[in-house]
Amino acid sequence: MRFSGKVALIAGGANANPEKLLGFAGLSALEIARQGGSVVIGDIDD
Amino acid sequence: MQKDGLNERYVHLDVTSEPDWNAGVKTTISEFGKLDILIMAAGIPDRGETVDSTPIDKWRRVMDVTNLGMFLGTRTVVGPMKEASGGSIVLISSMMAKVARDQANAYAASRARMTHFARSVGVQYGPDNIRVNSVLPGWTYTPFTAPAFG
Repeated sequence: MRFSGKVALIAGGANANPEKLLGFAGLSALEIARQGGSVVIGDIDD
Repeated sequence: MQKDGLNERYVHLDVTSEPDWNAGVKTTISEFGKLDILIMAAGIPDRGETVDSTPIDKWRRVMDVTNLGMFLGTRTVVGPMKEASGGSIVLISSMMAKVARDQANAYAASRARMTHFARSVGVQYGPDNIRVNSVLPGWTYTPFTAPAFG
């Protein structure tokens, strides 16, 4: 769990749904969370 | 992500807005107690534009989203990262920071600025144990580039 206990703020990641096409932000958010981190996703695209 | 049991929150964040950055960092710390990592991946394309076809408003918008965004984001997180005795800032740049093409001048210039900003800020905050890196991806199929793939 590489990101265990780590907290990330990710700008530009409206979409972190693994069932959709992901950008760098969304995929980063998903991987950090899957590896034990906590993620806050920020985007203008609510 | 939350339905998968993953630890995630969402905030509205216009990267050109200092109040939005302040609110995003405040939410992060109030929800999770600290902030270790910033990933700045917001961007705006100017595909197909040349210097003579780029409207001034478009140039300013690309610079605002990419460069004002990286500046405000970095400025907002370095305080909490110092308090946490370190952190990592990752700026998603582009191969266009290095590669010259016959179009997308605003995009390329904004990404080159981002890459050098990462170098200089990395030197500045290295003593505080804050790493700053830029990543320069090549063509990758994402929602951002999908229209160009057809």
